[in-house]
Amino acid sequence: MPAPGRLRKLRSFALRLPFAFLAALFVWLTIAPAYGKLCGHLGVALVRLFESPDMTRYQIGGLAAGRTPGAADDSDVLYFWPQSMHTRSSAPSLELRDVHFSLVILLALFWATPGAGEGRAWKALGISVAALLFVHAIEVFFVIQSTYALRMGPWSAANYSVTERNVYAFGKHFLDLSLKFAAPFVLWAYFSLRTVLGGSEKAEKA
Amino acid sequence: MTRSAKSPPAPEGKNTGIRFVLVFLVVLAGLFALAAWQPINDAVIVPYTAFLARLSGWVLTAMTISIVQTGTLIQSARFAVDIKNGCNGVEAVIIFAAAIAAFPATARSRAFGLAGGFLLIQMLNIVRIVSLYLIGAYVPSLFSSAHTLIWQSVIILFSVVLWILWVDRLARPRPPAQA
Repeated sequence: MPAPGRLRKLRSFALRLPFAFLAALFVWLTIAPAYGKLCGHLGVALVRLFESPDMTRYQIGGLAAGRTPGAADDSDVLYFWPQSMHTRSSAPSLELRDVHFSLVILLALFWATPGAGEGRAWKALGISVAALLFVHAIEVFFVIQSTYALRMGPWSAANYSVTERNVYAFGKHFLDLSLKFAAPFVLWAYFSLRTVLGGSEKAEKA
Repeated sequence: MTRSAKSPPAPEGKNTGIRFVLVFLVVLAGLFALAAWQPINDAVIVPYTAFLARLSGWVLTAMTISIVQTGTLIQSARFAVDIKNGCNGVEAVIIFAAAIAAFPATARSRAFGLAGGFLLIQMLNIVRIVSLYLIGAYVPSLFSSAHTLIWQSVIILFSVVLWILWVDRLARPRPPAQA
């Protein structure tokens, strides 16, 4: 059986998790527009790192009405297009919320951890959010690259080898279905598992 | 706190933490690649997803809801759900399995953890499929949020809680190798 102190921490974590999830959801909904834009800009910046000269053009929001009359708000949609292939009005798009909602999981895990209000817990959360932002930007990179490599007909075939197409397709699916959700867990486990399990003196004092 | 001899081996020190992260990521990518490989996808994942659809269909029928289930599709006059990769719980199980592989434990406790975790995650996933069908049929405006935001997060958080329980109750250090 776990020691009483550890059991208390585990129970505390489990009991706090639903409330932390609701708080995380609220915070995410509040910051989603700004965070989404940051993901979009960073993701396109990564794409452009591999382009010479820059060929990717993009816009976040502001095109829904032009494409579909009476369309819903698209302020969280990234439109991107290679300059030589598409115009703004026919550009492929990506819902940025679908990319970055795993931030909710990260916030919930950190805020459910005993001692979440302490300075070092906030520092760990800050580092983790920065790392997760990078993962989200990489997902945007892979979505854009896989669209270029696979969905633009003869242009894709002319500009991307079979290996590149496979790499971008795998990367996109791996990030979309797996790493996006795994990253919050592994970041939290790296920084906070000992606190939940009560495995160190420092954590015990917290 | 004094840790008893039976305390789980919480990662100690930076190197152990980094090792955990690296092993986790390598196993995660490996298992994901295996599941995404076309022959495995066609021979295992798709039939398994159809099996999940059948189980979910039985639950809905038991709730006196009239549906037709074909392959991975559950449909009625009101609504239809097609269970795709990402909705079959396999990715959550892969994350759970990678976390089990990355944490020091005996083969026996790993096997027990994997079997138990797989069953529990999949049971929750059936609840998810059934609830998403009901939400889509009766409150369609909430379907997108429930599908993407709520249930995806709940499944992952549930897997994390299961893993913590496994670490705390079952994981043990590997016995030292005999000379």
